[in-house]
Amino acid sequence: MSMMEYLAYAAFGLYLFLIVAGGLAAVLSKNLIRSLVGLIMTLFGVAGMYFLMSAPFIALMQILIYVGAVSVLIFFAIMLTRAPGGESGIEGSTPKALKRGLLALATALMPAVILGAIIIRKTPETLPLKPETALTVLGEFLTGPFALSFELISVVLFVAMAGAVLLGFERRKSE
Amino acid sequence: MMSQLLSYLSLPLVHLILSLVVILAFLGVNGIVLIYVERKVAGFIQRRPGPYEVGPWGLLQPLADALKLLSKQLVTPMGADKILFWAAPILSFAPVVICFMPMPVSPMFTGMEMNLGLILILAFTSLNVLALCLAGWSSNNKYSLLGAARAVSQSVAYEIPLLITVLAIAFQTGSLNLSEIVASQTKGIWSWNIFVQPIAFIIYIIAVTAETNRAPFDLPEAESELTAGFHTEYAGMHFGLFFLAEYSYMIVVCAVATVLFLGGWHGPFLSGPFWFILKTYALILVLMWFRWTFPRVRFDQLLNICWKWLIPLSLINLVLTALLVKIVR
Amino acid sequence: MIQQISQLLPELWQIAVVLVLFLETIGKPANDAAKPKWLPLAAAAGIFVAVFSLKADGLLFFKAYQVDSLSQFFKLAVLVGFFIVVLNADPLPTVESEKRSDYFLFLALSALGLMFLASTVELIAVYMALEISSYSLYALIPLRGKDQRAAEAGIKYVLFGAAATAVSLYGLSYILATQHSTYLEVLAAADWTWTHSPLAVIGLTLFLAGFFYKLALFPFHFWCPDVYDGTGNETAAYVATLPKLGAVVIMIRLVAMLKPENGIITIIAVLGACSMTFGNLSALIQKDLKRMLGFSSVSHAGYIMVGLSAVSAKGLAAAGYYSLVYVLMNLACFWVICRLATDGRNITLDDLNGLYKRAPGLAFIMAVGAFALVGLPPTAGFMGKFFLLTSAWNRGHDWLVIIACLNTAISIYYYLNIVRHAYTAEAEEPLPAPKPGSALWGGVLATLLLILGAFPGPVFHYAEVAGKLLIP
Repeated sequence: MSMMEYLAYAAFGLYLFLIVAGGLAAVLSKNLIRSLVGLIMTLFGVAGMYFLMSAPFIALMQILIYVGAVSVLIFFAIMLTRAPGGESGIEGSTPKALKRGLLALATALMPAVILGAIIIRKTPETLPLKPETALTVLGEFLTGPFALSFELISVVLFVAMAGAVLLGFERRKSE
Repeated sequence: MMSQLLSYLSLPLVHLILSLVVILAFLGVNGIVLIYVERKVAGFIQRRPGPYEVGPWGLLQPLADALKLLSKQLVTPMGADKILFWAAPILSFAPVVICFMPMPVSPMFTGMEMNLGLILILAFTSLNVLALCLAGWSSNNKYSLLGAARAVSQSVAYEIPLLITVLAIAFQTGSLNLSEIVASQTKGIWSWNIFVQPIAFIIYIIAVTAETNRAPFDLPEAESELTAGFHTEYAGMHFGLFFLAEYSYMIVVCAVATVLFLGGWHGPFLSGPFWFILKTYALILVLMWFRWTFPRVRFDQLLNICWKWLIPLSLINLVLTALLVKIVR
Repeated sequence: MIQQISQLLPELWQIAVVLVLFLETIGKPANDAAKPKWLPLAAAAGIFVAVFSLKADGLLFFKAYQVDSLSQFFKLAVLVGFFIVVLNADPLPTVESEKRSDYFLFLALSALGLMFLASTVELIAVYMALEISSYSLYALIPLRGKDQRAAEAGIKYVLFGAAATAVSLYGLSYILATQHSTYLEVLAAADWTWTHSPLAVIGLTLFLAGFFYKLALFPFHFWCPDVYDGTGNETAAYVATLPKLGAVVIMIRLVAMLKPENGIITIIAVLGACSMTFGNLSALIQKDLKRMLGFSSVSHAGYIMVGLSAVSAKGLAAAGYYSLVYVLMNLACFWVICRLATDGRNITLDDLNGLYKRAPGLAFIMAVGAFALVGLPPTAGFMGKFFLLTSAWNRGHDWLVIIACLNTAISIYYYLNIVRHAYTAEAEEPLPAPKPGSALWGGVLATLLLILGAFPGPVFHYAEVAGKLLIP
């Protein structure tokens, strides 16, 4: 193995750690903001994975959109809806919580184990692809074979926005 | 021996580390220079001398400031979220370093040639607001929190016109590679994008002033309203890092403006890097000039400027650019 | 170009309706209580457009959009359902007056999404169409004045929907990774056996989960009774009926790619059996009419699986026919509920007491609806079930047919309980009689159910032609 390959494995390990640790932090933390930080960690890890899979555009979009915009909006929503620094007093580590944790762990591991075993036993064929897909190719895909989906996304976004306005917006009562 | 060293240099990893070191050193020096320049410019505009006690013309003042910040105790307020409180300044500064990697200072002198350089810079500069949020929230102080809330709504709003105008330039060049964008502006001064896309330039400058939280858009840290906004509770080098990050972001956005609008390294007589740095610092002087001449806007005005003027204008600009590009090609 | 437009007429009509509604929502003054009066007419015209383009045929948008008999059949069904839902939502007592045209905008958008769903044959477009219809419902369900239950129902629907969507997309990633395409045309030729491509099989099963959720099939049914219970009666009438059509049409298309002995078919059959049994047993003890109908729709999702598990043209046609009938009979029941609940409250069984005296027309509609839901002749419910069971017999899942018959027997009890309350029980205190003439369109529904029961031939034949296109 060459130096670069070792580095790639090291990077893979790092990103994996970020994803798993971030996920655990997001789930286990009792504080919403810390959960959010865990989520951001996970998103970074996923972005790193995209880099590793030589999809830098997707990786950067992941950072730009999810980390730079979506998490910030979540942060804003948390700040607007609850008192700062407020800890929500939920159950501690009672035996019941332990049992629940074990069940959750089993549920989380089951698909991972089954799918992992299948993937290892029967690895799907990989397609030979260029190291980096040019942006123009991506664009042609979006306006060619996936043009319909591309257009439908705009309808979905319209529905989401109009729905948010409908539910969240209080019309000023005209006297 | 020498040739072996050179061959090591061409290894991507070594190249990467080397450029990181250079960038870090540059950012440190830049911070010190800009502190001095800002104080002198402020003094000039307000008809006072500015710093002049320490060293000749006060040149050593920023060094003294830096020493003071370094030697101060790092205080964590009661009830603060310790981990996040400590992480926020680092998170604020660290992404800037990456932003310099694809910067084409000259054809020879580019950290990392990247096809998506522009997106990389936009992605990592957008992380700053996250650091401000964490700082404001973890301080457990209402002024900090208010500052963070302002930072979020401001930067979310101004990110939109910023991205759209940059997209217009990318449409025109047909590339997101910064070197290619510079290369498209070689045909004399009139081919610079500041003349081709004047509206885009104006929108860009306004938007980045807001994105870097500089006056007149410095509401997240408005000292007369919020004490010091999101960094009220920060002292010593924590504060120093925020300060350094702010100046580093300034130089990033000005360097990007140089690349996008001012023809990058092109210019007569002098070699590339000189022109690049000259243009970048000239833009920074403009931003400082803004700071000391315009009064701070009110918050509703700030959002109105963005949503009612900048975004529609930038969209019109984008559509026109796309149309023209379609016609010309 | 002209030809393409003629193939897309029903969708274009619906898009026009959406656009006009949108303009109305942004253009109207703030306190204008008027509900769009033209909408029922436009929806009725939509039905005619759909009938007119019933014979359209073509493959559009880079082969991602298939216009064929199956899609046109379901588009017609969606438009008929939309028309009735619009009529049904006439007084709309629980929605603030200034939000009424928004309400209809989202109803129309959701129906539009379902119409897209009927035609898309590319998995990402399928997902997008599904999301259009779901997102509209996310906005509609909490709209019930200031009712806490509606907010709860809305949150439940969103959370379950998000989880199901996540599972579905995860499955899609496996399909894409193993079969390297999202086009049904390519996927139909691919290998779906467990021994050769186990990941693809798992992926498809997970992808179907999103549609199980829409259909309220057994492991994804939790939301169903709570949402029906919590949301407004008129919204429940929509949520309970039309989205199921969209889910069924996609499941028909996906199942048609598989061989009858495929493992996924067995999973569908097992889930169907669980769904029927669980839904029926839970419905037995319900007092709230909407909750009962919720559990009833869980069990009906199971019945539809019987037809799908046959994997034959006749089975798919039976599933399509039954879903149409299901929509009609549920709309009939909800019509009565909405007429009785003049102030928008939830209706319990006791509210039906003495209905035959107060409003004989509504009582009759309720009776026809209930008989159809049981599957008693001469209603369309009977013919639908008959087609389902005969198509599935001798196709390898005979046990499923037997379970379906047993479940029908169980369900007689609670459906006829509705009729018993309406006809034999006396009201303890006199309840206000509904407006005269309120039974008109419900009567049309009941008549349709009876006609489809007596002469199912033409519609079923059309469905069978559509099914033969998928499985020759």
